[in-house]
Amino acid sequence: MTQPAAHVPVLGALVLAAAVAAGCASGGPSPGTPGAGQGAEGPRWERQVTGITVRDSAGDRYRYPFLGGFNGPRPQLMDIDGDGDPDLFVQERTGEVMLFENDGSGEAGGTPSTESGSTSGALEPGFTWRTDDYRDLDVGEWYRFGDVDLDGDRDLLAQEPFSHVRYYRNDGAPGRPDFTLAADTLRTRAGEPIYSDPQNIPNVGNVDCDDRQDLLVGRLDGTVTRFEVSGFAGDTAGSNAGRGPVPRFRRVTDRFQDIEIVAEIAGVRHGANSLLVTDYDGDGDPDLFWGDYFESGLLYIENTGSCSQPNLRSRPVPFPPDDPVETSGYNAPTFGDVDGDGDRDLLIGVIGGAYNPLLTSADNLYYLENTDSGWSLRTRRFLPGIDVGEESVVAFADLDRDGDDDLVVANELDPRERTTSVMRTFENVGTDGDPEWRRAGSLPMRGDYQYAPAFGDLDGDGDEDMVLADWRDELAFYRNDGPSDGENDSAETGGRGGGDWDSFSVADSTLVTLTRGSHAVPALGDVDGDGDLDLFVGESSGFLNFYRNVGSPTDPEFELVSDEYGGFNVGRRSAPTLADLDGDGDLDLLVGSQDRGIRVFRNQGTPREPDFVADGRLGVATRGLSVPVLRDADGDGSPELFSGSAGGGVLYFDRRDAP
Amino acid sequence: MSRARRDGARPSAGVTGVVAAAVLCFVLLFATPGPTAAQVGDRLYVPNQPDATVSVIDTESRSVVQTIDLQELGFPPDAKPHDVVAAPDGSAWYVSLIGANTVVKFNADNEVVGRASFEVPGMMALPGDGGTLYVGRSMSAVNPPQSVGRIRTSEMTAEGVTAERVEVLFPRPHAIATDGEGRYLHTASLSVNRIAALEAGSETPEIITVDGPTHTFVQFAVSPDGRRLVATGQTSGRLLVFDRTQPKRLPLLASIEVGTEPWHPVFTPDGRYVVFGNKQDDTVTVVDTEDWTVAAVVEDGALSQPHGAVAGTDGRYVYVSSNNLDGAWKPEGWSSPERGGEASPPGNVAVIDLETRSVVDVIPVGHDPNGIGLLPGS
Repeated sequence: MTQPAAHVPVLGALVLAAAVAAGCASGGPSPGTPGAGQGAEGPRWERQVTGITVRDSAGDRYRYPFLGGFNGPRPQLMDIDGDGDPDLFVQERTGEVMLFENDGSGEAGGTPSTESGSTSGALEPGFTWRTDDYRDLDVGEWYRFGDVDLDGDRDLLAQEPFSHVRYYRNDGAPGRPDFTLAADTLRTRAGEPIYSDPQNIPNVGNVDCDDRQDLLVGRLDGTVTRFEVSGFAGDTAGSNAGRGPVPRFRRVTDRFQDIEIVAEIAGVRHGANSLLVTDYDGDGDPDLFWGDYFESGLLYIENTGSCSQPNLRSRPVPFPPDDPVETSGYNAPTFGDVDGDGDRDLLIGVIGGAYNPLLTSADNLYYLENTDSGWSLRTRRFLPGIDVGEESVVAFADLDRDGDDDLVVANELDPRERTTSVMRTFENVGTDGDPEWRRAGSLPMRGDYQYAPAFGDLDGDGDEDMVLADWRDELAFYRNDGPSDGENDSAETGGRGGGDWDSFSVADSTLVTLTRGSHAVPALGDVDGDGDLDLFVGESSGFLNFYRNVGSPTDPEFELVSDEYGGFNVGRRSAPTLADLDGDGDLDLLVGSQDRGIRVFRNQGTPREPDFVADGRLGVATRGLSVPVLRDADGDGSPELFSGSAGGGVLYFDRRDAP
Repeated sequence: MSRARRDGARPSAGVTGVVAAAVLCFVLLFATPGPTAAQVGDRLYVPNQPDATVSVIDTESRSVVQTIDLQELGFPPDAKPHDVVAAPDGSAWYVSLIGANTVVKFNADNEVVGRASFEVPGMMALPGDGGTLYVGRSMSAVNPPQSVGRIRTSEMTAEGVTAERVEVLFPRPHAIATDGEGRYLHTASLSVNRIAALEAGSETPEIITVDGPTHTFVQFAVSPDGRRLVATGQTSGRLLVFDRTQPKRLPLLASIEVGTEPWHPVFTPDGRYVVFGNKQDDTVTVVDTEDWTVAAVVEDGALSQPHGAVAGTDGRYVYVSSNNLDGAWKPEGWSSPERGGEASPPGNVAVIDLETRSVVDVIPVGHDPNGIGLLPGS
């Protein structure tokens, strides 16, 4: 919710520093021009994955409430810090790999909860989020750690745009990695670049147990091309010159072991796959796992040969054999001892293939525990946090009239209801100064895609009405009619948070109609000091639409002032919010975007005559489709920054003032 | 390598026999001459994906008259040309380069006159006035954006523009088509049974859910009168027929079981037939639109993973490209590596006579030819 005029002084009283600081956690700032005043003396915003307690509908705590959500995670377990347990890397976004350090606290408990049929809430994975962008390694669409040069530490292979293999050599030692970009493109002995379709994730392994590593590349037709390291050579010219030894490969075969994956439904072209070479059964030779776009499960090809004489010609079988996992397809597996019990467990990232990826837009990181009685699917959300699907929009409002802000998170298309966007609600069961959000139910609106609400008192009756946008060009005015009779109830709430939540009715289905654009995001605030709430609307074009409220505090009427307000354009998917960022008593403007972070437009006018001036980019690492909202969640007198994201979760940035 | 016409039709002037045709074919296939003389017959543009070339075929002589080397034009070796569409007035043609994240505009003299950046571009659609080019997404990304591209062709410059993105609310929009007037664009997903209907100039598509098994929509075709939309389902092996007179709803009129992996469909100019290759069956299906039944299934050794299809303006011939990735088809004169030849045989374009419903000519092109564009003859 943006602040109505009456609330402005509250924010205005905040003694905010003159600008917004750059930088956030180890993820680093978004690229671009930092905002003015982001100097050493200014405040900065620090990414927080935890910090505010959020619970699922069963009351179980999310360990990673503000991770931001996943849509197609690609995990890999490996011990990066040399402490003897596997750490977890996860790629969600192009060019970035997240790191979760294994802190050894993982426990194997967990019971099924009502949320998404998973055990998410009760599980306490022993991994601590460290960064969204591990060492700023540019990995393109995929990454694989593997000891290419057999020197005892893991090197890194990654996608080089668009269809080649980039090589980061690990010049450190086990536990002390030091990655050097050694080659933009790996090549054969003849100098030919190794080609790998960007949607096919290859793997490094030693398939014949000799002293040369192999690179296996899955192809669209279900076959596997095997390359083997044939030597190392440093480039003396070109972009790789002077970067030290780089492996050269011999193309062994385009039909490795005559493997030809035939999908469960006819058709192998237009495919995509993810390969994993690992000695799954512990018999000393490498086996093969294959996740495929046209395969809802995970295929296992057992090596029935020996270490030096592999035989991977056995029929691929769905895994685990006793109870095969089923997802929307295109599964990316990784094995490792997740729970510290001495055996290797399985994580599967569901990228989403031919079986409706919407269904796995929130439940997409499967954890299968290796137990004495076999494989047990423990959760579909191994890193539990707020995740409502894709393209989340965040808003705050006191919807149960208990004096604190509840949290509303909308999605583009709900993974459970499948045909509509849903605004999921999280009841604040704490206080405004010490919030604790618990997943409650949902607002009752249905039937459109990409709901985006903004709350504010539009009719002067003291409660929070709603301007609701969606993917169309019309925005509606919903009047707050006071406590409902269970309208907010749903099966997942168990009745809690239902009957005493505010209900809404349509006061005007076409409050405003955009002149162009879709995916509108509204923001309310009194920018002309006349006591009523004006309206900014962002949309797909990246421009801002400004509607002045020419009605009254009790009877709003919005008049278009400009559909290219200030000439401001953030690229695509503008998403405005209003707040007094610098504590000068007027509302400043922050605008999220699809891929250009959050832009700041500082109000250098007055509370009655705004003059928004572009002031750079907020120094926070957003994760695509930022939809910012500022809120003083912890009652410390200064606002925190929250944002929706492409991953369907919520990002939280804590404001840290300079000393 | 050589080929022989099977229908006895005389080749165009200057090519009077099989031998001459073979020589010319060889020369033109592997050489890269400059712009061709004034066009007479239809001209086909065939993107050879791994070669980063585009073969230009004159349908009169049924021969490759030019091979455009995209690397020579500054594009990378793995540019991966995927689909070609041509302006109906013959003034320009466009090729999507998956590996270069670019759509390139050529003029009728095959000179680059514009480009637009767009992530993993795939299939394309161009309305009759040639003013707006729509671009879907190829498979070549782990998780491509859920949007299609919209490019004003007049704004494409050599320096390049960025395609406008239109959100479609589902993953992997691949099939894409518009009508002659460009009033509605339709695009469909490879992942879910959903179709987006986008009115010209609009930002907000209607989303249509199609019942049935997973179809994996490969490509659309719109009937010449604009009243029907057909879609091929890669995994369902079906041709779906929609009522396009209700473009925002697309009622399903028929669902026809066809071959395995039907690929790019095309209507004949009179709207009587829909023709498409079945990639796994190595066949071409001809569907009669009067009763929406399979009128013929063309089999021929030259059909080897048939992919793209386009109908000649004369209405008699349909041209189908074959990937031939498994090398099942080998052109005459082709030699294996052991004999000093290529590692793998090229693909081809088969000429299908709709009167005899047979392959009457086979034109070797580059490797793995994909979606074909047709520039109408003068």
